[in-house]
Amino acid sequence: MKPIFWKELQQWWKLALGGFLAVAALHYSFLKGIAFWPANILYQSRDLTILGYQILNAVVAAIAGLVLGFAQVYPETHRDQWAFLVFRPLSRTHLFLGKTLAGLVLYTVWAFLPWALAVGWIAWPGHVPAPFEIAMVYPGLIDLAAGLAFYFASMIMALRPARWLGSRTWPILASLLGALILSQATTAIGAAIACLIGVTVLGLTAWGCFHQPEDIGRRPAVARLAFVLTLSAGGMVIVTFGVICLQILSQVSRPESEWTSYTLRNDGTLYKVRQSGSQLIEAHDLDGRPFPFTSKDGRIGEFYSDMMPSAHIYFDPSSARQPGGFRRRDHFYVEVPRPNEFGERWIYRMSDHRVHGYDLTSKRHIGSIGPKGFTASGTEPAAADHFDTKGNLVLEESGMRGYPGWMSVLPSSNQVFSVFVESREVRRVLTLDPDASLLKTSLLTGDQTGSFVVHTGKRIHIRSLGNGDDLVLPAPSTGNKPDSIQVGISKDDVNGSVIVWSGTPTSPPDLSAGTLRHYDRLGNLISSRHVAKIENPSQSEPFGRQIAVCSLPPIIVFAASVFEGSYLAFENPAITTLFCLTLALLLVATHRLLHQSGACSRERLGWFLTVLFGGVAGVLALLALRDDTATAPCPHCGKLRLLKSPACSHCAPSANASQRNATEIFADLQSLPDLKACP
Amino acid sequence: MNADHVIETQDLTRYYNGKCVVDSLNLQVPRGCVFGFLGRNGSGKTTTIRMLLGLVQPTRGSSALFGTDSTQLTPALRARVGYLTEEHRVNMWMTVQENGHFQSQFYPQWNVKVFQSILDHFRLKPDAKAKDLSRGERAGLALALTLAPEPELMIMDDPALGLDPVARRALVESMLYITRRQDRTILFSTHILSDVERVADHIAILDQSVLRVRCPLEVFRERVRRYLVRFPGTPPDLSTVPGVLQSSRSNQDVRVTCVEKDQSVIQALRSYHPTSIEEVQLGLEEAFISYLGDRGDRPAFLSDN
Amino acid sequence: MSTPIVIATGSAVPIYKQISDQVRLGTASGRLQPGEQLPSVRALAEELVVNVNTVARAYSDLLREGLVESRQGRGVFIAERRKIYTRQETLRRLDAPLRALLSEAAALGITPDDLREIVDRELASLAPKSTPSSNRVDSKHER
Repeated sequence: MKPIFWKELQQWWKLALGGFLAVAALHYSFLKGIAFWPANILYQSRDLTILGYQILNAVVAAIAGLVLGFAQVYPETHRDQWAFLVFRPLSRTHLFLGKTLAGLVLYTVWAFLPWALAVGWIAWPGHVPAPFEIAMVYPGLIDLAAGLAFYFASMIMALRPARWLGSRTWPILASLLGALILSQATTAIGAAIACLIGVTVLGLTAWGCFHQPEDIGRRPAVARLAFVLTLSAGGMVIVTFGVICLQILSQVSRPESEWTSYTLRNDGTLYKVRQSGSQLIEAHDLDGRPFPFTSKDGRIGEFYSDMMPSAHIYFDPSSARQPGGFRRRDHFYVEVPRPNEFGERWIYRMSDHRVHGYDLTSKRHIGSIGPKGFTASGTEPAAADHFDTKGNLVLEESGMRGYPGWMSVLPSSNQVFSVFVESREVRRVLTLDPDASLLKTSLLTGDQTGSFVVHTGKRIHIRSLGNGDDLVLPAPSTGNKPDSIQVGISKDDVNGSVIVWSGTPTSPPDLSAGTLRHYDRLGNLISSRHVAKIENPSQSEPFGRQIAVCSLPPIIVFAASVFEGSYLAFENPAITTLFCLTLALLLVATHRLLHQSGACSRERLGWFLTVLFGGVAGVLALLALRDDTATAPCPHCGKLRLLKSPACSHCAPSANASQRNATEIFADLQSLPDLKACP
Repeated sequence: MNADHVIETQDLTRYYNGKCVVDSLNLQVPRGCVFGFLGRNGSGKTTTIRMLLGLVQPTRGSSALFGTDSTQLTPALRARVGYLTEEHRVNMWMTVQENGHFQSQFYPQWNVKVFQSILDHFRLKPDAKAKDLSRGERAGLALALTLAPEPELMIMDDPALGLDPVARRALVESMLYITRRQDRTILFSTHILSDVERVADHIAILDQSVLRVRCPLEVFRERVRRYLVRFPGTPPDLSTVPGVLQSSRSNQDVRVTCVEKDQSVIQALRSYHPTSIEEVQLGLEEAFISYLGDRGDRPAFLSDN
Repeated sequence: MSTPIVIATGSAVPIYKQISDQVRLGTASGRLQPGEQLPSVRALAEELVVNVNTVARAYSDLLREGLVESRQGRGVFIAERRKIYTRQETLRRLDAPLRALLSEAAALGITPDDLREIVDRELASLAPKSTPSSNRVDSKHER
């Protein structure tokens, strides 16, 4: 194995070096902010949490893997070159290992080394105005490991003598699927496990292909299983892609549908608005009075120009702030998109729950702020001196009159703080009653008052930093659970009234039936009104059913329509015909493919089940995996015969005897002359 | 499986795209012999060789090297077999010397003197890059790489392909060098019959995927004969006589090429009452061409009428 | 050895027979003297670039005919011309091929005169010393 290892290194080190230089240049240009990177990627700090940077790394890893895997194998797949490679006193497995280990070294130089250097640079204090945590390297490491999946996939592609337009590229599709899964994973452990599984499956498949490029049946069982999984994943990608294309096409033809929604305007009136596409058709308030449009065109602009600033506090499950996936920046810290005027950047770090500042010129850490105040960099803050947001973090820029810089609302147990970063001050703005628990907070968006709302379970505190007053209102609830609310402060009233529009505990007010309550500035209820829920027609795609019937596995379609009844119901004769046609096509295709491959009855049953449970993907898998060289037409009777058996099962045995005639010469070697007699 | 047979096949068959390229091959190659594997292009020789080496799976049947099935060859067994590919493949990006160094690491029994002497024979410089070598030079390198481990069995697929006469002579000499030790066996496929004449003990001929000859070279030469048969009048069609390969008629005589065993053909010819039957001496190439050419009664190629 | 042996491929005559024919010719013409050493099988095979078995077969045929003899450990040498067979034996040995020749000639329609001419021609193509003086038939065919 060692000679192969060194030979591979010797053969390809230049390629890896060239790759290293190219990738290092990419990393360098990114970190130095060289112009060609799109501006929206250039957040204030070029650190590892930038998704674009992670994508760059993942793409580099994939390309390096693809090129290396292909280069190491493809030039040697020519028949005689392959024979020269494999006909040696070395087992195929050792040969494969030698190549793969060398490939690993080359890949490390190409993809990992530049990244590691970049990480080292980023981690060095004074280079990047952002914190550095070890957990930040996990996405990069996992993506680099995933590049190995592409390495093996490319190897398989090079080894397997299949059709390019057929299943030859499917392993690459399988790794793309894996990469997609990795990009959506939320925990590092989950992603690492997924990556490990993917790389292992593809690695085993590559090993099996190395063992036996052509005859699947003679590969080790584990490798065969991995091969089936790989091709199935690839086939699934193709089917999904096809379905998506069909859906997009069907959507193109969809007519614009109308929908109705509620909107609160700045004068506190709730309007019911009907739109179609980008056209606003009409708007009525709850008493049926229409909105006084002044023109025919530009209605949307006119109507939406003056919305009421409101705070949204929703308790529905979908709005719960998800913990940021391990790739996302908000898993590590939360920041405001623009720096303050003093050339500083302030962020809230999740690791220690303090507000940290960085100087943008020196890129150094300034210090951090906790509830007890500012601690300069280098000094260790007290252990308990941190905020406790319970996921309720609100970090917004306010631009409030009279309060330069930005402020934030930071809940901490039963207190709410505001941080003024320029002066490094912390101010407690609210202390809750002992029986209240801090549920959620929300800034009033769309206004300049810097107001925010705190929901404490039984009460709603509306706090404006401008005048320091605290308006407390009862929190609407249904049973024991508080309702989701939208709180607004309208301007048109001389005194400015406060509007609380509430829905249900699990549904925001604009999606459910609710109540609209008007309060005056002192907290007295002025009016209360019930708001009915709007039912919009469901947005099903015009051909959604047809596409589903054709692409989903027949068993699922059948079961869904028998048990569910609603979506895929067979009352429609057209749908039923389509389903039967699809099923017939699938079965015929399966039968023809199996017939040609000469499979035994047990295998046939397995494949029919696969097609019933896998649908089109099952047929694709069969296409890719079948052995189409197993049968051939018999020269005598013309029917397909299994080549493995000595005689054609359809012909009489005598027809198979090969013709011998009198011109054949078979004789054995006579004894060699005795060489001992002649020296 | 006879232990004395270095190579043995049993009904070895291979199909490609539904077409049979090797049909029920039964072959035995005894130890120590030089076995010439002959046949027209596309008759299945390369496929057979690949199956013998375990590089290609047979559709049916089996083959064995040193008594072990070809699909189960262990690395230790492969160490005893040298394979020279048709295109004389080596590591093209390495130099001559690097190729030798690389190859030598796999074989503990690498003989540097043999390697060097073949290189010298073909006048190869150690620093020359393999991709810059001419076909003949590369063949010399490939030959050196396969011969240096002194394999017990040497399998060569059309080794003289693309070689000039000088290189071919060097190749033949190298082959004969191997045979100096009596336990070494060579199986080689070729079209160059003068080389076969020089070196082969045994030959086998594949005719369109079917094995039709497997015998010592001398037996083949003895049995394939040509007779000039003179008739008083118009000569009859003699191509249907059993054993006749070809016949070609002109005004009063017929040239009959046949496979003779125990005088049966000449007896059959006498029954047509010819004026005379004269044996025409055949060289090996002529005999071979007649054996594999079109059977039956043939007019002269591109005749005037 | 004084006269080199050459072989040609592509000939109607097998290589082993070319070798043994040339040795026979050499001894008959006197170019090869009794007692002269022939090259070893290996050496000749190497020189002619042919299989050792080919040379071995030629030598073994010659050995069997008594034209050469092998001396243990020293090599192969041209044998002394000695009468292995009695005159009667010699004639008897000639009988079969002679009859074959005559019957074939008859079948081919060659007249006895033609046949004598052919035989004389063949004898004449051998060097003058080929026939033993006691068996000389017709001196006028001497070259």
